[in-house]
Amino acid sequence: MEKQGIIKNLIKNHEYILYYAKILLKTRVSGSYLGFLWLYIDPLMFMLIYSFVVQVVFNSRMENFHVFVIIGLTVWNLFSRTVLMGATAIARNKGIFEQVYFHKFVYPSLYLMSYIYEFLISMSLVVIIMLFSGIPFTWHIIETVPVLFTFTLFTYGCSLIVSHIGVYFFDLRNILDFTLKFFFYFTPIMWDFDRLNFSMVWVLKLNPVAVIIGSFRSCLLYGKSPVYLYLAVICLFSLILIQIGYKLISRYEDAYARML
Amino acid sequence: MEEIIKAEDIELVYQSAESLSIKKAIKMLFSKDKENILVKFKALDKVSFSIEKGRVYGIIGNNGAGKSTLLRILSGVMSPTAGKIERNYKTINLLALGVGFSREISGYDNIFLNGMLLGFSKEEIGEKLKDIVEYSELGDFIYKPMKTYSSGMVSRLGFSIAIHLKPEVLLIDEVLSVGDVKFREKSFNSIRRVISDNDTTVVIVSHSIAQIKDLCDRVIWIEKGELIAAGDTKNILETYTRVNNEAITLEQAKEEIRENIRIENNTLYADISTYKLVLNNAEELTYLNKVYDYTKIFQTEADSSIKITVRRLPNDDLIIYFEVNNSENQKIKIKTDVIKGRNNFDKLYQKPAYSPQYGENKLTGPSSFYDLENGSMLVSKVVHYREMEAIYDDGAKSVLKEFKYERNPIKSDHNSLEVEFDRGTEKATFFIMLSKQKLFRNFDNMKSYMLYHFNNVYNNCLRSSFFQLPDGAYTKLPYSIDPFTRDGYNINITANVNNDIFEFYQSTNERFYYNTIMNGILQRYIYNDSKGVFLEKHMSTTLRDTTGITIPYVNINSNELFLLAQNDFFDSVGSILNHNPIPKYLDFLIEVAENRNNVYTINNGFFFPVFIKEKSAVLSEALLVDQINTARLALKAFKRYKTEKYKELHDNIINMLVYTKDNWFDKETKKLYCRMSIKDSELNFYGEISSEELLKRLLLYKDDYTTVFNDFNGNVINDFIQIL
Repeated sequence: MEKQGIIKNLIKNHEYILYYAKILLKTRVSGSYLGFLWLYIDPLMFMLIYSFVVQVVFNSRMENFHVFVIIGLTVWNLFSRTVLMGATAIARNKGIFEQVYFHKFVYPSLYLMSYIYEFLISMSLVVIIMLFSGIPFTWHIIETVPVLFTFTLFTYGCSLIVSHIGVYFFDLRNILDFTLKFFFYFTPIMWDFDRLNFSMVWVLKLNPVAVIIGSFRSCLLYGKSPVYLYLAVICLFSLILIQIGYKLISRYEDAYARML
Repeated sequence: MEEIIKAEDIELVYQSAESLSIKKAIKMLFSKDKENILVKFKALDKVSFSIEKGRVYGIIGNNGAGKSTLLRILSGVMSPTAGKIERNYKTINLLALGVGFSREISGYDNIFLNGMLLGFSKEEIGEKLKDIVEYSELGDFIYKPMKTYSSGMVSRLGFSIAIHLKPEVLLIDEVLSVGDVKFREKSFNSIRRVISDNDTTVVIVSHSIAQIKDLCDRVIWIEKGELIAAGDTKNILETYTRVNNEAITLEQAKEEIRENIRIENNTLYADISTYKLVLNNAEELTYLNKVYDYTKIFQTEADSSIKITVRRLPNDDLIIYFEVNNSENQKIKIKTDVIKGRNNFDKLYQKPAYSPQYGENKLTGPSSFYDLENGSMLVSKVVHYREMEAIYDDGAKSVLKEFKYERNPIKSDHNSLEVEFDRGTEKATFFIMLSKQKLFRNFDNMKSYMLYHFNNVYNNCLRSSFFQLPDGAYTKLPYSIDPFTRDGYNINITANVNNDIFEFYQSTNERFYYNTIMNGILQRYIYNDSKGVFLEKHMSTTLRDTTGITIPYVNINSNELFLLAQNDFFDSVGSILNHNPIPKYLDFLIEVAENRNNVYTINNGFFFPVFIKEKSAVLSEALLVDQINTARLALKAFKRYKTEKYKELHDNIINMLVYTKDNWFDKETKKLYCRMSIKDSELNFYGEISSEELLKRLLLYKDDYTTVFNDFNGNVINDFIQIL
């Protein structure tokens, strides 16, 4: 099978990826009475619980702290779920690629696709919560598009690389599980850099997810433009990751099928 | 037929990932040979075959043989770790039981996903959707998640998709054996329909021999990752069934199949090990029942025939002789053992390309030597010829071969040999000679073997059609007797001496030796003229007038010429006999000896009663040596066949030597006479050869001879040694 670039390959397989991603969503809610509504109710309930906990239990002094946390959590959720899923994305679909040949990068791609569906739903819910919380909307909300784009690229790059390693290294999922939990607390989700009394704070600021969460917040919550220089750097870094991941998968995809 | 998939020596190694723990991963980081840490499993080992368009193939083999792996390689899901695979198709579907579908989602969605994976667009699948669902008989289940399906339903759906979205190549893995009887019948019929349209190539893996027999035209049989056989369904299935019933072992089956030299696609696939097998089985037969030939004729699809003759030479070497008749784009492909070294045969001859006396050198015959693991192999050039009928002046008819041209095998590398016979109306011959000895490790070995052991068998059997010119070059005799044919030339022998010998050989079935001997005579006779051309008087004028071709008409009637040819003759027979005593020949000696009242001399086993009777002949060097050789031969024969009369013959010869010792040994000078004269002939054939040389030659055999001889008669041997 001849090797193609990732763009060409994505175009070639887009029908399958989109269809499969849709089916994955469908599978999540299949058998339930409310069906697709759950895709909205689920994150909504999640957000309401966090709002309650943050506002009532933590009783934070920060203004609109619940929205602040919800944005962070939603972004983090997409990232951590995609990466975690990536670790087993190829391995769990062995049954299919043992039967038909197609490029293995499709699997991490389609899981990302389905999580992005969910992410968009969650984001729309965030907007609704903002509306209820009386946070004013600015034109900066449009600027979430380039932020989302950057974020997607970064997540994609990570999941591609992880999915390659995951085929050979089954323990990866467990390792990722606690690594992501660890990073959860080092990412400004429940807290902000401004309130940190720590001289090495710049190290934490190198975290791309932190930058992206910050960018989302500035667009939605603070009505400010994100720092495009940071985003551009992350974009570039992500593109390199994607390329490495894709090359790895292309090179070893044949060996995947031979794994016992 | 177009080859849609071609696999050459493919190998596949599985790696175990489950065993890759953190411990191992760390080990791997620091270890130098990372390869060895992963647990590996070789599922396929050097498998070669080709799949032709439109045919139905069955893959058989026991569990774990590598069938499914092979299918996956065919489908492109996996590439082989070693070897080459060519795939000339666009769409392929691997239909396996229960895999490939996502269990969580509905059958309906799976149809789309599966179809898209096969390379069809959403619209195309949409068009066929109704048919697929209908055919699969799933009804409303189609909208339910696949985990609720029974295994029969899953395979029905998969089968339905494959049948309706027709790929170029359809691979079916064990699917046919599931589902209820009704659906099984239905799927069978569908497969038959797919088969009959001749566009779709189908490969089926099944444990059901009945299914394979019913559906497939070709079978690929693998066992433990090794290709056992590939080819005609009937033959292979027969053997396969017998192996499964434990009537024969797999090893026996392999041999059996190998012996089934097969013809496919106008190509003869022959494995040389076949002949090794023949050789081993025929070993005793050859001596006791005189079965020298193993002949089999194969009919190709294009109505040509390929005749294979395996002939065992007396020195246990083997000649495999191929004759192709009326070939049209014929190919003979012979797979040999792994050949470990290579020597250029031409080097041996160092033949001049052109000789001023004889023109262009036409050396043909053996084209190359190979060192095999257990011996050597000699490969000839392919000689193309035309058969024609010759009518001689006296009205006798004979079939002659007109030499046309020759060529090298098109491919002769270290593993295989391929020969092409490609001219429509022609006949062609080609041979391989297998020697049990490792002869050709180096140039000297080869040379010495040829000179001492192989000499005349080789010269006269294999190169019977070649003649050594005075300048050392070899040339092809325009007309010679093919030692492999049953019909020799129309040679009249009217010599008045030694008719016994010819009678003997003519009366036996051993036409091979007869022809060989005749060749020796013919060569010497024809070239006696030293002009290198035929004498006009020996041409067949009738044939020349009708066809324009001159054929020698040999009429040996002079002692002189016969004696000239005799040397070749003796050498040939001597060398043949020295390797293995042929009982019939020894019987003949005994018979003649008895008829001649025990007065005889022996020259390499040939009787010249006249000489001794009249006490006028002095034994030649040749005679003395050959007498001893004949005695040795008789001894050998006694040991092998345990027949007393051979021992008697041996004793008689030795006695005769003692009795006539004055004729060839001068006690005063302590020298051996080596002179021979022929009374009634003008020719004095003097063998004025130094007795020192003769002594040396005799002494060379001394040890050997003494020990053997002591078993019989101590007195005589003492006497004999004393003389020397």
